Amino acid sequence: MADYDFYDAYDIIQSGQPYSLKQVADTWRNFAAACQSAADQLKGTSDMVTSQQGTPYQNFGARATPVANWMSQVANQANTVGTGLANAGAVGSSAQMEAHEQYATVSQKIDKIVGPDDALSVGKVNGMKAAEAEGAAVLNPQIDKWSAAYTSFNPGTVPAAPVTNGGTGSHVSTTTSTSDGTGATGGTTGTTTSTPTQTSQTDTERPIATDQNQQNPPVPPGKEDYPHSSVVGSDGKDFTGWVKDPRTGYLIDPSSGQEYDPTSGRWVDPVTGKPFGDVTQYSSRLEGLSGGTPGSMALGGGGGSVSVDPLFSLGGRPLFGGAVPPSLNPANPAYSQLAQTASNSMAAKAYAANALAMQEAQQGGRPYVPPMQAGVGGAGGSGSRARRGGLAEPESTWTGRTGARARAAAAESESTGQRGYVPGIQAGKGDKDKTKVRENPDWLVEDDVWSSGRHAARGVLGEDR
Amino acid sequence: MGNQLFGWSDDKQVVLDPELLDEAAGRLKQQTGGQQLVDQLRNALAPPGAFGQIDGGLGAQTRLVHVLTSLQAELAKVGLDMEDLAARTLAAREMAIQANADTTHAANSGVPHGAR
Repeated sequence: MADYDFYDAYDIIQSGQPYSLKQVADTWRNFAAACQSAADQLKGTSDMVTSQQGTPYQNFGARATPVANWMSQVANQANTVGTGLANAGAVGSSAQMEAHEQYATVSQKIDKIVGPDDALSVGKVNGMKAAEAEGAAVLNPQIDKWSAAYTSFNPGTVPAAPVTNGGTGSHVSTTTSTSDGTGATGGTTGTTTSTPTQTSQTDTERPIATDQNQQNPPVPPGKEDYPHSSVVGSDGKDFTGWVKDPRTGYLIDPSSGQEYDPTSGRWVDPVTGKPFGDVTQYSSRLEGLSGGTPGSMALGGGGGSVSVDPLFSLGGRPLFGGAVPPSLNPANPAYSQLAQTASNSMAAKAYAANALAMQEAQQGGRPYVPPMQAGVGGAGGSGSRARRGGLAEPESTWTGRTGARARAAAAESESTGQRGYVPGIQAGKGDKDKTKVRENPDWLVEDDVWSSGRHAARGVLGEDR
Repeated sequence: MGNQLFGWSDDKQVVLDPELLDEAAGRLKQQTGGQQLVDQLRNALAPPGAFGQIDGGLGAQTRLVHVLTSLQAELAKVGLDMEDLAARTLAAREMAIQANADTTHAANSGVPHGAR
């Protein structure tokens, strides 16, 4: 059972790269497909050759068939590896999202404890420690879950390759030829892979091989499509740039924190966390939102504060499609408290959505630009002022931790509003992806195909620049 | 007839046409150096640092590296063409990504096989 303090737990959770793990999982699974494809081809060749009479042909089959069977075993094992890694990646993504949200929540609590005068007292310090302990109580189980996913990851041992009866030097190629290195039998097959340069009509009708693939240089995967990205791409229409919560599957508006359940087609109550109201009859459930520009609020990847009145609107754009969540009925006697809870919850989710999106972008995910960084600290009123952005002293004052100090410095740097304002709706627009400023230079894009080991750029996640 | 082939992208399984996979792999080998593909594949199958400092991460990474090392050794024994396997892997990935993107687009637009 993990027993870290809040900030240590946060750092440990953020040290993993679940987005990369998911990419690696896909690679193993596709490697399995490659092995199976090669095995099938070899087996087909073997069957064809052994159908002929003659010792050389039969000898070839005696060698090739076991290899093909072994390749199938390898494919199964590669699939097992991929499944284990995918599970670890999914658990890790949820843990990181939870950690981001808890970070924002703890910051909100500490802001409230410290108050506007920023003065500290023993009582306040104890209150802050209690808030951190509450956050740690949430994060430590997340570490345990992730650790359990790692522990259960058991790729097994690779089955021994079959020993051929041709002695040494046996060589099996799935694309060119299969020959006996010793020359004893001289069996050679011709399973040559064709490499056509023109597109046939048949090919164009198939969904997975397009003219683009045939006539132009292949677009490296990851350049236009971003598997596993939590950020909705241009296919999401008005939800473009929203972030999918890996824990629930809900889409989070990074500029307001409002949530939408694409499965049920309903908005999510910010207090209860449950979908409410009638099903929104959008044709695709990913269309129909009015656009709009985020209004004055403070939201930053490092600072993390959002001020939203969940009952009304964000920059003139109605939240929740204009519906009022049941828990925020003004007739409710506890309305004011619930509204505050909703506001804090939405602010924390907005912070977490931004942080997760930027984290994934640093690991080769969809390029992401936070909704805005301007106006930090100037949008009070909902009690969600960023702890580090609004306090005179960084959190390291209380914790004495280097990492926390660095994060505070980074947050303070970002809270100066040095970055330009970019509406959230622009993030991830497919047509604009090509012109968007990327975190990585173009020459690195191809590495995105395989990238998993690249480290995030310094400063983005709040560490020392 | 061999087993059904599945490519993967975004945790989604996509059925692959073996012939198209062969063709795509062949193109990739022509366009990209085979050894470069092999190097990329090796790095992609066991990237350093992805497991982080979570308890059990180091052990998991060790097991992953071990299985990859063993696999490479066994593949070398039978003399399988690693360049071909790498090309097929990348081709499967490309095709799966494309198929997923097309499917999503078709679902959202109601236009099957529509141009994106």
